[in-house]
Parts: sequence; structure tokens; C-alpha cells
Amino acid sequence: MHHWLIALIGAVVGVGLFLWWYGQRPYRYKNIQRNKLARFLETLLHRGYQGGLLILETKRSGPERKFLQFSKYIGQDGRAGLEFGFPLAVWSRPYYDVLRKELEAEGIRFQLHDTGRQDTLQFLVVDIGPDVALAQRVADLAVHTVFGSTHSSFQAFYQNVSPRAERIGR
Amino acid sequence: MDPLPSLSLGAHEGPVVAISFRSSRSMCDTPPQDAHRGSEHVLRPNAERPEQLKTEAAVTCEWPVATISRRSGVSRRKTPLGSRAGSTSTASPKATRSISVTRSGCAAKKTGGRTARPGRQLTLAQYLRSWGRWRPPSTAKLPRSFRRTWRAALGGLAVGKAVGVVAASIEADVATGAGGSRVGQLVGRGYPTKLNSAGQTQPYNPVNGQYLSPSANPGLRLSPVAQVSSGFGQGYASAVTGGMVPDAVTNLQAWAQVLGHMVGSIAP
Repeated sequence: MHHWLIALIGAVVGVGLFLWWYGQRPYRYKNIQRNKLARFLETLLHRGYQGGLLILETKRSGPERKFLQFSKYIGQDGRAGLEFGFPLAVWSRPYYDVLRKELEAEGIRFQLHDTGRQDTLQFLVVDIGPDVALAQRVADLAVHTVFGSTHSSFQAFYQNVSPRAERIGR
Repeated sequence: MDPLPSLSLGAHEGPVVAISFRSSRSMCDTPPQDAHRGSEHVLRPNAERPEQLKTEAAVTCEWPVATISRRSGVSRRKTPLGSRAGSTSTASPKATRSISVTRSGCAAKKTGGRTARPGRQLTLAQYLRSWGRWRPPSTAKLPRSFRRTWRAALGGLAVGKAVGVVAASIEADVATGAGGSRVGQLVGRGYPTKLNSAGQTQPYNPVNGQYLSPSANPGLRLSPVAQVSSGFGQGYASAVTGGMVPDAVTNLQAWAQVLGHMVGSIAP
């Protein structure tokens, strides 16, 4: 009798853990157009927690998966800002220098952060701050450079962003 | 009597009312000369012909070695059934009740050393249950100094193993600069980090460079347990004192704040 009870409790816990894991997965917005990214960036800026993310991707997995990422930071004074980070990894090597030249041509300031690793060598970082218009320009440029014209629409998902309509940080 | 394919010889704790064993050529290293016959014997307290049983046991079971004891696990003496089977079967019906066969050479191979009820096959549930009953051999009758040394040795082994695991994981972390160690796999993953524009650490996937949530890395400050406990404490304290709830770091901490605030509003 006890064994069946233990098995039942184990099954309930297992189902609960599965549902918890399933519910933890971020919702993916599909068929996002390039010119409609401002709304997503604004949501990240206002409702994201420290380190909140907005990931734009062409595919969910596989070697052809390409992504762009924006993160939110909150400074010591409580002011929030956005940061664009593009890695120099195996998949992004063909686009890295092109994107850097495009940013230079547009007059957008960026920094290069070395990681000291062999797999992801460097990050191209644009400190956007609270300027959503600048974030839209950077996103437009990066989508055109990395995703190209073959991916006119892509997916997007948030991480560590509050589901409630509230403002986190100033 | 039909040849039986397996041998089951064993006992359970407590008095035994029947002993049965089956023999087969395939179950033992050294098959008996007359294993083709097979045999099954049942000794009962009120057996009608104990002498006949004695004879059959002595004839057909020369090779398996059984441990026969007055009480299971208390006193044991190994007895080749062939040579001493007579002493077993000639026991009086009253004495036969307390005789139990705890293990035989063949039964140990069949059941992995687990004791089995004599006279019947184990179902899967019974077999699994028997694992839960297993206890390490008792050292109650050994000298106290030996027991102390034995316990110290066991404790030392456990501590040594734990230290070895931690040391190996730290070594792996230092060598690779990333997660993947055994401790890391237990508590989460250890991802490399970079500093963001606010000077805070931002973990990322080293394979493709994708940013990860700050809670991806285990640590006292941002582990899920720490998020829940700190959020609950903040919410509870806010409900009790009326102070402001600090900004949550993650959704998990935000929900813990809400829960703590609810409990704090009700409990006091």
C-alpha cells in the first residue's frame, strides 16, 4: 500500500515539475517584422528586470540558427538602459566585421569586449541607454546585416521580463 | 517429478514452516551428477515421512551449499546439503519450525544475495520490497574496539569521497572556466560572464555567445532558493513593518514577495 502511495506522490511531483518547466518556457512571438521592433524594445526597457533579455532569432535550433540580443541593465542610480551585444562566435564570424563597418558608417558608437576564450572570442557592445529610437536603428541595421533579406520575419522572446504592466527602474 | 528450470532456496526472517529448493544444471558452477532429475522437497512440521525426505535430500542435492541457522541472521553455519542434509531433515518437527535457510550458493547467484521466501517464486513487487529490508551485516557481537574502528573507517570513506568530489569539481571549474563539473551539474550550470554597461556580470553561453538570465548561474545571491527565500522575507517584512518592498530581481522573487506579503498580512 505504501509503495503505491509513494509511487502516486512521485507521479504527482513529476507531473508538477513538468508543468512548472513547461510554464517556465518563454513565449515566442512569431512573424515579427523589422519595422515593428520598437514596441518590443520599449517593453524590455520598461518591464525588464536587471539582466532582462530580448532575443530575436531566425530558428529555434540547429546550425542555421542566428540571433540578435538586447539586454537591460539598471545602474547604481536606478536608471535603466539597453545594451546590444553581438558575439564573435563560429556562427557569427561572417557577419561580425560587416556589422562593425555598418555601425561605423552609421556613426553609432560601440565597444569590443574580449572574453579571453577560444569559442566566443569577443562581444561587440553598443550601449544604447534609454533611447528606444537608437535601439530601433541598431536593431534595424543588425537584422538587415545578419538575417538578410531571406528572413523578412523572425521570432522574438523575452527572458526575465515582468508579465505585469509595471515600470522597473527609472 | 518434472525437472525444474531454476533453483530457489532461501528464507525470510522469522520461523519457517517449509523449505523447498529446486535444482537445475544451468544455475550452478558445478552441476550435480544427477541434476537431470531435478527435485523439490518440502519439509513441514507435521511431515508424515521425514525419513523419506531425508533420503531424497541426501541423494539429489549434493552440490549446493546452504547456510542454515536457528534464527535468521543470528547464528549461521555453512552446511553442504549433501553431507549434512540428514541433520537438517532429521530435526524434530518442533525444531524444524525454527530452522531457516538463509542463503545458498545457487540462490545467492539467482537473487543477487537477497533473501527469498522459501517454497514460492518471488513476484517483482516482493523482490523490490526485499531490497528495502536489507540491512548491512550486524557487528553487534564484534568487539567494541573493532566496531569503533569499523564506524570510523566508514565515516572516513564517506568524508573522503565527498572531499574528492568537491576537489575534482573545483579542479574542473578552474581548468575549463565554465560549468560541467559534477557539483555544477547538481546545483545548476556555471556559465562564463562578461560585464555589461552598468558594470554587472552578464552570463552567456560560451558556445554561441547568447546572453543568459542572471539566474542561470548558481550562487548564493541569485540561486532559485535564494530568490524565493529573500523574496518571501522581503514581502513578509513589508507586511509586518509597512515598509517598501525592494525591486525584485526576477519573476520568481517577485512572486515570492507577493506570497510573503500575503502570509505576513495574515499571520501576525
